[in-house]
Amino acid sequence: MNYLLYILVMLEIYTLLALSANQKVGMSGLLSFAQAVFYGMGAYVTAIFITKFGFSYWLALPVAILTCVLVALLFSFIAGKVRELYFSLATLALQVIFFSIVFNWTSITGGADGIRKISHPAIFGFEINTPSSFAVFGGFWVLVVLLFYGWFLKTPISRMIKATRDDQIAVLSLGKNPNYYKRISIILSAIIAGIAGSLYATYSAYIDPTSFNLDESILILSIVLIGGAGRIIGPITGALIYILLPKLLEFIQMPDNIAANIRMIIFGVLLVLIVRFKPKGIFGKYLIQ
Amino acid sequence: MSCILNIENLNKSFDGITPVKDVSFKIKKQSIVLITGENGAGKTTVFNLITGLEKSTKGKIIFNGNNIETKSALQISQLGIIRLYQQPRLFKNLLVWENLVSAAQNNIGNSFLNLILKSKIARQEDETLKQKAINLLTKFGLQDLSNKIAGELSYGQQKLISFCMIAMNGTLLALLDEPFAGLNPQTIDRFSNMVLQMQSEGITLLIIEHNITKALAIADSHIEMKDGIIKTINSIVNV
Repeated sequence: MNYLLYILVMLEIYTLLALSANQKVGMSGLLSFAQAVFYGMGAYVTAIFITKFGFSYWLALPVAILTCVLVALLFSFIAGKVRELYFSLATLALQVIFFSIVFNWTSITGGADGIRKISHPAIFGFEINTPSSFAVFGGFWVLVVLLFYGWFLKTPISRMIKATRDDQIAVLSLGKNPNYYKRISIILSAIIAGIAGSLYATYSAYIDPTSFNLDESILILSIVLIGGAGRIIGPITGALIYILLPKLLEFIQMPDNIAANIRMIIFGVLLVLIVRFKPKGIFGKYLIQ
Repeated sequence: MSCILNIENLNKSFDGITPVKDVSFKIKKQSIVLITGENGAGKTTVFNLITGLEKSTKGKIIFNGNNIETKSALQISQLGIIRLYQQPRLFKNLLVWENLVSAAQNNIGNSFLNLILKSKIARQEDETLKQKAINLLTKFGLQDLSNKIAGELSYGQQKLISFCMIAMNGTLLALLDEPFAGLNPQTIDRFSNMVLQMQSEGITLLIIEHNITKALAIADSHIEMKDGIIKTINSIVNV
């Protein structure tokens, strides 16, 4: 039972991550290789403020979100003005810089050893420290983000974000600033990834840089690509496939040590097949370019 | 009638080439001006200079009393100059009415802060704009396209919709780059009627077109360019 709840929590975390990547890639057309940066930032800032400054989760979370917003804002001013491939290269650089910082700034981040003993969140004195309570807590954050999208996708600004994705020169010639809409999208994406990071740090109680490297960024991007970009159902489907795939392998009684590798191979093959035969993804509306 | 655009001694040169040489002309408000010339005559460069996509080497561009020479492309379009490209530039994954609403200027819901602080007003305004977009499509006989995805329309329909976006934008001066290119005769006539209708509503139009016969039928004056200079400027009296 605990194992199933663990799967559920990971599904919730990856759903949040895929939704955050979808905001950038699917809604804005910004191909990003730095989704794990904001995931890691949310996790590290939360962990540092809890373990070093004695903050509670509810105080550390706003700090983590604010940090993600500020970094995303700074990044959008620098990289938001460049287009397509150049933006992607800038995100790659951000990913490398972030990993180098968390890996080498040992006095703050713990370097390769990471940060341990991150305390769990509490609500009205009730500590969220059991698998079931964490599953509910993760579900709460997924619900918050989905409710947000239920409102946001009907707003004029969301429409302009998608318009900028489709043709930013047309947006400019209509007297609107495409960089503004890209900035909003980058910040929103960073906030959602930050929430996922914060959740992950307090759930696992231990973080290290390997969870937030380039591989992780590519994995998150692949989840969106498989599920389909530009719609909410796409990233959720992608996260479901990624998380439930190993369960399928367990079902056919494959040993754990083999299943871990086979899972990535199957995921990779699935990715290639999707790119070849269904380039918009399973439920995608927008072709990632 | 007063002048909306005044271009004085406009020059553009780069790498030893001068695609625009001492170009000067004035455009009256609410007129339709046709620019013709062979490929390489400098027509598109003049459009690029007016819209701020390129900066001139010398000369002045006065739009509605403002010197727009030093302004960015964004600032120029915000002042009321809009360009229709030869290839229609629509938001291809959005619905047609969404394209039109996205084209509207001063939509307060386009600001995130406004969306939070004035959410009710933003929602009401968006509804009003949607209705305006549908009315506009109905006026031009395109109401059946309202709920279609813009990218799935035919080339001609996309051109008509991108023209509707200009009307929705509330622009003062529209620059049309070969609007008739690739259109069948019926759609050209339809497009011409839309141009005349927009003129009657107060919009000034500057048109580059190779289909001279059709374009002359709606133009008030005709500028002919050759090798970067203005060869002739004629007023046209259409009967």
